[in-house]
Amino acid sequence: MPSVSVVQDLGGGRTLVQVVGGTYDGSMVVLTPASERSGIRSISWYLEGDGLPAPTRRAPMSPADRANELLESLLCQKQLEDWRRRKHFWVRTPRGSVELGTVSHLRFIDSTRDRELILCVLPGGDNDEARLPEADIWTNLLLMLHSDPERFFRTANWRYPKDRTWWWGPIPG
Amino acid sequence: MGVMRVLDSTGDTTVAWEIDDQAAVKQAEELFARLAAERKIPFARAAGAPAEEAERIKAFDPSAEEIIWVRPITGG
Repeated sequence: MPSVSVVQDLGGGRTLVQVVGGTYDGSMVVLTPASERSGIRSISWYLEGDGLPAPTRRAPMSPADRANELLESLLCQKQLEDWRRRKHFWVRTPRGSVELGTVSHLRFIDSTRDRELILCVLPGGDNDEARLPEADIWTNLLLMLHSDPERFFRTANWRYPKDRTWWWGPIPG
Repeated sequence: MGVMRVLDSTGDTTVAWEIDDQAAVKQAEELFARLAAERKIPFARAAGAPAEEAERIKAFDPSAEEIIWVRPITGG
């Protein structure tokens, strides 16, 4: 079982150690404090003669970035390409496709009626104190639309593209 | 390791558990019940799976890799 031998205290909570035994016998390793690892195990290899890397700390992600990361992880390849290029993407349902990306203006191409409608659907409870980052709105709608599209269409307020009047759901059959 | 993500103003708040850690599993289960009582909606997916593979669930599954909590939808 390999062990480590302390070589030098580097300060800032970092310690240079040498691996003793095992596959990496003789290798030099910089141990970093848990707070620098952001919950992910990491090992910095120190190559003799090289300057030591400066301590790296992953900058905390902004709410927008966290939300975006989660949303992107849920998208298929085509959706991801569209999202990255134009911040919109289409979601297919048995009744037609819905475009997510503009709040209160979801394009719905209803293939069963050969028409286009504009929908407005939002996550509930989105008040000032509990405002979701925008990408979370799309995550919310994406999952709900996939799991129960008919409920989505029943819930939506809607209007015709050239008409400013909004109608309460459900979408006319 | 299982992870629960609750969409909120920070992006999402995460709670993780190891399946063989009974205390952590119990805490996650209690959180599940609390969020369900708040009428939030849970979707389970394998880590990194696309939305079309996520499944709406009704009970806590400690073997789920990731559970994402969203809000009920409303007409805007």
